Amino acid sequence: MSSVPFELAWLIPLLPLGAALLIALFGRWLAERGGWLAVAAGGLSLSLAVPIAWNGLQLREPFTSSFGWFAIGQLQLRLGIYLDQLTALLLIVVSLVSFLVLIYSIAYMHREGPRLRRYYAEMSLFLGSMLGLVLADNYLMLYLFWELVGLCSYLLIGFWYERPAAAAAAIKAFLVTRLGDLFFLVGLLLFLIDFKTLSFAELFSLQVSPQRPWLLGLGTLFFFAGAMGKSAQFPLHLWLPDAMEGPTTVSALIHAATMVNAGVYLVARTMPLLIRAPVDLLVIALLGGFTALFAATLATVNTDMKRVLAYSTISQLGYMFLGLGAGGFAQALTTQEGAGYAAGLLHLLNHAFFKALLFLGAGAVMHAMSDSTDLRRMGALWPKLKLTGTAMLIGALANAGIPPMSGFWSKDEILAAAFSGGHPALLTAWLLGFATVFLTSFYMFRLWFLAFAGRPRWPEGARPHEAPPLMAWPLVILSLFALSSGFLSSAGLRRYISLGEPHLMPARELLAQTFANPWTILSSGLALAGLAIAYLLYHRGLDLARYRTALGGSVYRLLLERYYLDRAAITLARRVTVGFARLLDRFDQAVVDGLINGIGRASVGLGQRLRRTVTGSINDYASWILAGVALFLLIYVIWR
Amino acid sequence: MLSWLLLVPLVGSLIVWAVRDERTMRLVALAFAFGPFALATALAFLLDPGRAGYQFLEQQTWIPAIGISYKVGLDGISLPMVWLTTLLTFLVFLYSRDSRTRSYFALFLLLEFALLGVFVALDLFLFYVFWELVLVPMYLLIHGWGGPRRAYAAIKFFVYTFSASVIMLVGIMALYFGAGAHSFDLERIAAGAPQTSQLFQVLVFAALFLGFVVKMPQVPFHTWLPDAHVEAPTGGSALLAGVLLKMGSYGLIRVALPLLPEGARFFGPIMLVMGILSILYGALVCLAQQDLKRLVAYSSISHMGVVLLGIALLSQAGLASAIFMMFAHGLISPLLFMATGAIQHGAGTREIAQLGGLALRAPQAGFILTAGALASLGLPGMAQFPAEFGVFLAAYLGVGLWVLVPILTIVLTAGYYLWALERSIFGKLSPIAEQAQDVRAYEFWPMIALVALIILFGLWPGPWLGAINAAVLNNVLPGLGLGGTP
Repeated sequence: MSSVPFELAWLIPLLPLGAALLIALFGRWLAERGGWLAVAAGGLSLSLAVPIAWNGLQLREPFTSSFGWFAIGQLQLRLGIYLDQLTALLLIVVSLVSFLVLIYSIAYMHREGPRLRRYYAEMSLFLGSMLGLVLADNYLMLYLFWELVGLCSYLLIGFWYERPAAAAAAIKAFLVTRLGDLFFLVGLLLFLIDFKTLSFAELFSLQVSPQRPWLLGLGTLFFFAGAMGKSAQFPLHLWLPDAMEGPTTVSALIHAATMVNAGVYLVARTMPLLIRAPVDLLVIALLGGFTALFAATLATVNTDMKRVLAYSTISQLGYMFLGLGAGGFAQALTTQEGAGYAAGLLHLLNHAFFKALLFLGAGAVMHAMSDSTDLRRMGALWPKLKLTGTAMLIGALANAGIPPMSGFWSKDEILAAAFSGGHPALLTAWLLGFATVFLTSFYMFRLWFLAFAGRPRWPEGARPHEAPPLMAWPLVILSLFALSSGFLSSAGLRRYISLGEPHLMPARELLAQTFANPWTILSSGLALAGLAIAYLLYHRGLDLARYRTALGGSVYRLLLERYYLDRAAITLARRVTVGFARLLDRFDQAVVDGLINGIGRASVGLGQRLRRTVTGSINDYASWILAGVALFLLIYVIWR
Repeated sequence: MLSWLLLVPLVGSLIVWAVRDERTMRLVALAFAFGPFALATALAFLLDPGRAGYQFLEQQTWIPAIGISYKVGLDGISLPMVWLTTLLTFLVFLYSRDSRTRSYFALFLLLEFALLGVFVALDLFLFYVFWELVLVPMYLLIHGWGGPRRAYAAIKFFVYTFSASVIMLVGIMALYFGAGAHSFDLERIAAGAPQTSQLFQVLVFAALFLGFVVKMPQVPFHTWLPDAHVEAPTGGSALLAGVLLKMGSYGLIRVALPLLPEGARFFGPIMLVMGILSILYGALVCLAQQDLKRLVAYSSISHMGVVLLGIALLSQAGLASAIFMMFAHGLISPLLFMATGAIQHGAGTREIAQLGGLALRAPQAGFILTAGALASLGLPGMAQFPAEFGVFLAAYLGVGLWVLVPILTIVLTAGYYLWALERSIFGKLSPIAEQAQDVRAYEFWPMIALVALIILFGLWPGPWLGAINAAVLNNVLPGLGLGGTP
C-alpha cells in the first residue's frame, strides 16, 4: 500500500468530476445512461482513496501540494490539496458510502429512463465536489467545492422538478444554506485581509496579532455559521426535512456521505484556530446539544419514514458538534487530549454508515410499497422483507446507541467529554444530549415497529417484495459496518484522530472501562427504555390516540407543526421580503420613473414652446449643446 | 492593427447594406462579425500584460488647431471590453437567424464599430464622438425591431442618455481648458489635470460622473434600462447589457479616476453609497418582477452596482475586480437575455406566471436559463465569482464589517433567480409551456458557447485578471496617487 504516491490524491476528486462531464456530454450513448461510468469512477476513486488515506493516517506532517490560481490586487489565491488524518478519515467515509449508493442506484433508479443521464452526472459532480472539499488546502477552495456541493443538492433534491414540492424543497435547501454561506464568505474576507492567507498550513502556524485577538474568534464564528447551514443546525435546519423530496439515494448521499458532513468537517478543520477562541467552542457545543434534543422531539411525531430519518440526522449532527465543541474546549483550557474531538469525528464515521444503511433500507421499503413513505400505511412488513427488516433493525439499534452497536461508542464518548468538560455551558449541553438518548431510541423503534411489526395497513393492491441483489448487497455491507465500526474505530482508528496527545487504551481496557462507567449504564438504560416504550406503543398496539393524549394535545400539535418555525420562515420570505419588494417595485415605477418622465414631459413642453422660434427636434439637442458650451466657458473663466 | 479592428465592422456595415441577396448577406455579415473577433482574439494573445502604458498605439493628427487627434491604443483594461464586443456581435449574428433584414445586421456592425471606438480611443474628443455614435444604431435597433412599446422605450433611452452625455461633454471641455494642455489627448491631459484645484476637480468629476452613471445605470438614474431591455430585440439587449452599460464604468476608470483624483476621492463615498444602494435596490425589485426579461434587466442594475462599489473603493483590488466583474457580467447577462429571448420564441411569452413546468417540454431552454441564473448568482466555478469575491474583499478592506450590507445580495440574488426558475421552468406544466417548443439549434449553440466561456473564466480567471491587475497598477493607480497597495 505504501507505493501509492500522495500526488495521486489529485485524481480522487478529478475522476468523478471528469465522469460527470463525460456523462453530461455523452450519457445518452453510455450503458445505463452513464450509470456504470459513474460507478466505475466512484470505484476508482475509492480504490485510490483507501491506500492514500491509510498512508495519510500515519503522516506526521500534513502532505500539501498546490499551485497559483488567481490574484486579487496583491493577494495570491491558490488551489491545492492538504492531506492529514482528518482528510483521510473523510476520504474513506465519502468515497466508500458514495460508491455503495451509486451501485444501489443502478437498480433503484433504473426506471427513470432518459433522466438517468442527468442523475448520474449530478451524482458524480456531487461526489467529486465533496472529495474536493475534504482535500482542499485552503478555505477559498473549500468554499468553491462547498458551493458546488450546495448546487448539487439543489439539483438533486429537485430531481423530479415537475413536482411542486420538490421544486420548493430544492430552493429552500439552497437559500437556507446560502444564508449560512454568506457568513462563511465574510469569514473568508476577514481571514484573507487580517491574516493575509487562507491556506490551512499557514493559518494553523500563525501567531495572531495581539491588537485584535477578537477577530480570530469572530472569523471562526462566521465559519461556524456556514457550517450550521450545511449541517442543518438550528435555526438553519429547516431545509433538511424537505430535502426528502429528492430520490432516496440522494437523501442517503446528502445525509450520510456528503452535504451534511461538510459543516462538521469545516469545524473540525478549523479546530486549531477555534481552540484559540474558547467562547466559540462553547457556542458550538451548546447549539449542538440543543439541536440534538430539538430535532429528536420532532422525529417522535412524524409519520413519514424519510422525514423521521431526516430529523434523526439533524439530531445526530448536533451530537457531533457537541463533541467537537467539548473536545476543543478541553484542549483549549488544559493540555489533555480533547477526547470529544475524536468522538465527534468517529460519530461522523459511524453515523455515515448507519444512516446510509437506514436510508437505503427505507429505499428498499419504498421499492416494496410502490414509493410510499407513509408509516401509517405500512406495518407487518417483516415476513415479506426479512433482509431489509434486519438491515433496518441494525441501523435502528446503531442509531439508538444501544451497545454494542456503532452509534453507542461514539455517542457515549461525546457525552462523557461534555460531562467532564468543566464548564456550566458544557454541562447544560451534556444534559440536552443525555435526554436525547431516550428520544432517539424511542423514535427509531417507533419507526421500525410501525413499518415492520403490528398489523398490515397497506394501501390496496400493495404486494411487498424484497429488493433485487444490486440493492441488497449494499445493505448487507453497510450492516456489517454499522455493526462493527463503533468498537473498531474507538479501539483502533482513534489513535490517529486526536486533538493533542491521544490517551490510548488497549481494547480490553476500553471495554472494561466503558461498561464500568455509571453514566454509560444509565444512558444505555435510557435507550432501552425508549425501545421498550416504542415496543409497547407500536407493537403491542397501544394506539396513536392514546400516545397523543399522553403527550398532551397542544404539545403534539406544536411538534406536528414543527414549532411553527417553517411557517414563520416562509412568511418572512414570501410575505415580508417579497411584499417589500413589490412595494419597492411600485415606488420605482411611480416615483423614480415618474419623476424622470415628468422632467421629460416638461422639457418636451418647453421644446414645443421653443419650436415657435426654432424648428425641429435636432435644434432641441443643439440648444442643449449650446447651454453646455456656455456652462463650460463659465467654469473656464472662473477656475482658470 | 486597431485601425483594422475599427475598419472591418465599419466597411462591413456598408457592404452588408449593399448586398441584395439575403443568403449572401447573412454570410457576408457573419464574415464581417468574425473578422473583428479573430483580430481581438489575436490581440489578446499579443498584448504584453507586463508593459506599462498603452500598446498597439496609433496616432494621427486630426484637427491640429484645437488639439484633436485620432489616437487609439489598448491595455489590460480595454482589452476584455474589446474582446467582449467582438465576441457578442459574432454570437448575436449566429443567434439571429430568424427573419432579420440587412439593415439589422448593418446597424449591428455600425454599433460594433462605435463600441470598439469607445474602448480604444485615447483622445477625449474621439471618445465622445464614438460615445454618441453608439446611440444611433442602438436607438434604431430598438425602434425598428422592438416590442409593442418600442417607440417610447427607444426615445427614452436616447433622450435620457444623450442628455447625460451632453453634461459629460461639458466636463470634457472643462478638462480641455482646465488641465492647461489645450488638447484632448488623454495622456497629455493626465499630465496636468491631477494638479488642478480640488473644486475644479469635484465639479468636472460631477459632470463626467453624471454621464457615466446614467449609462451604467445606477439608482436613481436607472429607469430607462428596464424599458429599453423589455422592448429591445434579443440581440440588442445582449449588446446593451453586455457592452453598452460597461461604457459608463469604463469611462469612470479610464477618464474620471486617473484625471481627477481629488474629485474621485470626494465622490468616493457617494459612489460607494450609490453602488450599495443599487445592489440591494436592484435585487429587491427583481423579486417583484413578473417578466423574465425585466427581471434580468433589474439584475443588471444590481450587478453593475457591484462594479460601482469596486470602483468607489479606489484600490487595486477593487478596481481590478470591478473590471473583471464588467467582463463576467458581459458574458452572463447576454446569456440570460438570449435565454429569455429563446423562451419567448419557443413559448410565445416571458411571463413567469404563465410558464410553469417549461423544462419538461423544453429541457434545453431550462438548462440554459438555469446555467445563466447560477452564474449570475455568483456560483464559484463560474466567471462572476472571482469578480464578486474580489469586490467584497476590497469592500471589507475599505469599510470593514459594513461589507455585510452589500454582501446580503448573495442571498437575495439566489432568491430571485431560483424563485423565478421554480415558477417558470419547474413545477407543474402550464398550458402555455405544454405547447412550447424547445430552443432552436442556431440559438442553442451560441448560448452553449457562452456557458462554456463562463465556466472557463470561472475556473481559470488567472490570465485575464493578471492583465487587468497590471493595467490597473500601471495606468490607473498612478493618476490616483496610489502605489501597489492591495
